[in-house]
Amino acid sequence: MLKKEVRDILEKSRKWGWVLEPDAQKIFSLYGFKTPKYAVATQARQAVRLARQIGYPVVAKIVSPAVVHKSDVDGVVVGIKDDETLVRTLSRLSNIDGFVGMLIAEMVKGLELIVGAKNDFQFGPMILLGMGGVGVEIYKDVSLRMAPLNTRDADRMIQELTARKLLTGYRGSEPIHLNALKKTLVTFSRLMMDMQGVVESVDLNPVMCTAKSCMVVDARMMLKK
Amino acid sequence: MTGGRMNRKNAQELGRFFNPESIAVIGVSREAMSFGGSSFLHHWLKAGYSGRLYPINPRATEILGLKAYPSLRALPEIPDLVMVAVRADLVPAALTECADVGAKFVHVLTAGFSEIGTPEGRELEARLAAIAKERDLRIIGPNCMGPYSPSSRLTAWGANPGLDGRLGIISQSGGVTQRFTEYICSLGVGVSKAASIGNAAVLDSPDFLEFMAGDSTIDRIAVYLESIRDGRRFFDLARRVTPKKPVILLKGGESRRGAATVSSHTGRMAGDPVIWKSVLEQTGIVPVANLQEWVDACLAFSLLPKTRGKGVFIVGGGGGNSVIFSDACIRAGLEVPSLGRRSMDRIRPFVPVAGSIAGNPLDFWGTYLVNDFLFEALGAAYEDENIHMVIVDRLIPRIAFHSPEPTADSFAEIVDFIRSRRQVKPTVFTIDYDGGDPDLIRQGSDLRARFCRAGIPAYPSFERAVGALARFDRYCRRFGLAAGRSSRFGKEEKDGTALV
Repeated sequence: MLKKEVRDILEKSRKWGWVLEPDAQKIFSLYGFKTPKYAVATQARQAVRLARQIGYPVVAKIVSPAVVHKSDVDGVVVGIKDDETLVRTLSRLSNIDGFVGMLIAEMVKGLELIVGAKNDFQFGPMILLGMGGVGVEIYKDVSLRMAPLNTRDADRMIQELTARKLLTGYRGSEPIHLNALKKTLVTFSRLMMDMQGVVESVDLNPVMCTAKSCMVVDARMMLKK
Repeated sequence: MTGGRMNRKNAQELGRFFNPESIAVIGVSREAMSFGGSSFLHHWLKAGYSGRLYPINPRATEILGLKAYPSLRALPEIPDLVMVAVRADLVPAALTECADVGAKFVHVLTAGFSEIGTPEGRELEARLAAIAKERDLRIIGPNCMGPYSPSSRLTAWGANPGLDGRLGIISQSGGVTQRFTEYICSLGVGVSKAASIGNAAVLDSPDFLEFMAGDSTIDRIAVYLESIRDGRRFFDLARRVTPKKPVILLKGGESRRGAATVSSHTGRMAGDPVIWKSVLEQTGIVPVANLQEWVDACLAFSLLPKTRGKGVFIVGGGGGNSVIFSDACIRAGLEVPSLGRRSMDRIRPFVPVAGSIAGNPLDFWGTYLVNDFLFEALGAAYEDENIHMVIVDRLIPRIAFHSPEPTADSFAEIVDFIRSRRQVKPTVFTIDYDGGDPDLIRQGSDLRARFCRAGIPAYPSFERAVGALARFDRYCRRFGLAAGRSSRFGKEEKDGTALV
């Protein structure tokens, strides 16, 4: 059974068919996923105050029901280090179609992974784990399983990735927290089971993994038509 | 069933489809035999079906020597099974008649439903499903060949008379299953029950998977699927079944409906083939890609004892072949380990230093000609802990190397040797009879069939042997060793002598 706040968000999102990023982040933090510190601003002074609270550098993203693909409209600016750049960014983003706010979030580093789900017409929610970053659709280094996952499934998914060595430490890079990743996959798969009646697909892209944690940095949640 | 899960008891009642004591056939022409009711009756009679057959035809008194009846109502009993072979638009009325007389198990042979892709076809199929639900009918079909079972002489299609055995088959294609049963029965692997389920409008593959999982006459299940309605249920069942009964699945067709959600990475990267591959891995189902791999795997899973590792001993390939065969093993994820010292001490004395190589592969032409050499090599391998499986390359006697005359047929002795050791380690033969020489093909395929029917898998190429063993090894590693004491899956195949 979904939490009431989640049901409210999903209900509200129906009119545009997907869940705005701040709402999606809310859903994931409610279910115990780690997310970056974030806030939404519409005014310059408010934006500056929030960014200082979060701590520079920050990332700014357009929030608009009309923009599913933020990068198509230059709707994401990373590495903002000062008030001036932030305010300039806000003024540009606020001119984008459907603007309802600017999401300001903590910058997070780590190994970029994709965790996704789609509702297959034959098998129901399928969970995907893949290497993220720019090459994602070229290499298609992904593994899939039917939800819900158990820890063995999550482990096998990681083992199936061609680039698994990047996760376990390669040429001196620090290994990521594999148990945190497995827990993320298992919890995500359960959430997808709970939401399969309303949600068509989800991309957590990227999930940033470090030696300490796995963090959902961006979430796109498409609803069933 | 549509809209609900069957419980175990309901699943087991599907057994009635495969051993009916009486069958009524609606849709039998009076004229010359044609595909449909009359051809099924003809084949049941020919196979010696021992139950009661009732042709239904309002304008006939006798068909194929059987008393004909004008309707189901006129029958002296409620038939265990009704086969419906009338025109598609007449099927709903026939089903209603079944329900009215209390006949519950129905096979709808008729085509012309959802598979023709018209709104009328889909609508007719929806009506069929609705009648089944409302009147509590168990329906196989439409558009399929229905049940098949050699032990009941219910062999109107598929290998006829076929061979009784311990394999269950669930298939969305009657044609593929026809060929599969002929192929596998000709090699001595018998079939307990096959269900050709067609459009599966009412009973679907998960229903038969559940049934066969609980059927004690079935040890392994071969499945041909193109699509599935309730993949979730199939998945849950398969996960429970595969550790006990291997499920070997041939998946046909790319999905036409699995259109990706364009706005999602996941949708673009998770096409239908990728999804099926991952579902099969997750459930422990053994995937195969074509009819040959399907038969090859079923031979291995039916006839071999479990393997405890992937070290293969290769016997008798000759120089170049030894290299090629080793490569094939490695490519498939198997290993070709060195023999242990004791094995080498046993083999070395009879292998000439020049022109042969004692080791693994064992390249020694003497294993073709002198059984004692072959048996000594096998005996050593069976005791060698580096070795878990054996592949013997067997020349057809006519072309055995360095022999002025065709060599003596040593088949019987070889079979005795391996059977007396109860196949302690999976041992298979390869007999290459490919090419355009009909005499060689005849001799080769005959030799192959004799090995298989004697309970020793034999393959027409080394690569096919390796493919089957690699699948078998993967399954054993995942389930076999954990499954406990028994060295075999299920019961042994009967001596496959019925066809010889």
